[in-house]
Amino acid sequence: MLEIRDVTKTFGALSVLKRLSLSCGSGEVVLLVGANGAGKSTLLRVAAGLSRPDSGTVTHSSERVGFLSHHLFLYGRLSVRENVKLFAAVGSGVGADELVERLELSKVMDRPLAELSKGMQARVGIARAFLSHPDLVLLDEPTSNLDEKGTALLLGEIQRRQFETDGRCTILIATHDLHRMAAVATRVVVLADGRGVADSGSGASAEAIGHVLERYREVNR
Amino acid sequence: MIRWLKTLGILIHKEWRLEWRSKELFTLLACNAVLFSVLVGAGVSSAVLDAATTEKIYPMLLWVVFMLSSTTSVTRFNEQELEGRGFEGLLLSGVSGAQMYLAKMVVMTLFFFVSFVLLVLLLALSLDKDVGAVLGALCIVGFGASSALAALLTLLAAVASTSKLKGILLPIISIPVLFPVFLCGMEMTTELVLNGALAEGSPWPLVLLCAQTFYLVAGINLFEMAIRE
Repeated sequence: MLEIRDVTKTFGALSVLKRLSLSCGSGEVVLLVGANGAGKSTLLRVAAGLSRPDSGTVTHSSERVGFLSHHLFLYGRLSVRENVKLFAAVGSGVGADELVERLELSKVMDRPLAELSKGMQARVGIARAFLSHPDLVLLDEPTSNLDEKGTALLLGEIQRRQFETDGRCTILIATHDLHRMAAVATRVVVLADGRGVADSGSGASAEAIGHVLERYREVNR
Repeated sequence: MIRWLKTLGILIHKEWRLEWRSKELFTLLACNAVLFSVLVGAGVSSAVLDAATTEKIYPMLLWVVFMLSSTTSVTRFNEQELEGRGFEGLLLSGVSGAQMYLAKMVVMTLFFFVSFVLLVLLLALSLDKDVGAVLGALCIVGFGASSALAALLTLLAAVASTSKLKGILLPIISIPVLFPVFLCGMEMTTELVLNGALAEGSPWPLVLLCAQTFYLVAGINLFEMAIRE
């Protein structure tokens, strides 16, 4: 589970998160939606512990966090194999070979990461995020560099992680790709100007999620 | 503890591989060593100093060149971490800042030590000075100083890595703090070169050990704070 309470984050004079609170239970797949600059990416970085909030608290029980963003959190000069091996070794990543197979990375294993296309790099990023078997997964615009196949593989990994953990894994996804990501969501939270402005609630039905997303689309039209 | 050490070993291997692939630190250290040695040799030669004076100033020249070469070479040491933000990936995987710091420090120590040995030989050659008899002892002093330098510069390189001014910021902030290492290295080298051995009861090894411990404790405790946003 993840508990974010009264978190504030500013960059210079710009206030990005304003006393934002969000509580996510085990097994929830939460879509964070909002316009550019709403604070989604900052919220995920704060939740991951990569960025310190100015005030407020973030608590979660997962020792390892799976985080995917436009930064790959990998080493471009190492090969895919070396990157996978490194992160599997430091994160108790058993089953790395199977994960590589599932993400169809076998053919590029010996190529330097920096020489791959953005889409393939993103797949390696997905592998890194899931390698350590995290109970908290944070995905920031995960489909931005992925084609249909890559997106399908990502959705498959999300569902597999939920299955493997018996629904204990909490997943937050910040995205503009509502159409494709809504398929795995159990809740939608709308952010605007650093605050949560709408929430479908935990275990929301597809209808309730659709309703919140429709309201969000109307506001942004 | 075994798992902690195993992770440290994996990180050292990663640092070594990254540096070996780019060769940035080693190239800078080696080029600086050659360049400074030639410049110093040419300067001393044109000043027409006698052999006794050259022998006296050899330790000072060696350590001035080593300190300058080291502090100006590490400005890009964290560049590969920043490119793909690999260090954040490691933090997310449960690696501690202390492990990352120690891995970087170990690899930096090795490169500094190799550059020190290269410098001792090149400077001896350019000043026509025979250091063969004390080379082993000089290497021990050089290894101690290299690890102390690496302990501090690993931390400071991380602090300066996000600054646009890192090229000039690093030498400016590190040289004053590294003065104890410079002094210890120079004094011990003088004793070795002039007397063939360290003087009995020489305080400098202890001072160097204290400085090294201080930098190490600071690095282990502050490195993670320096790299987190």
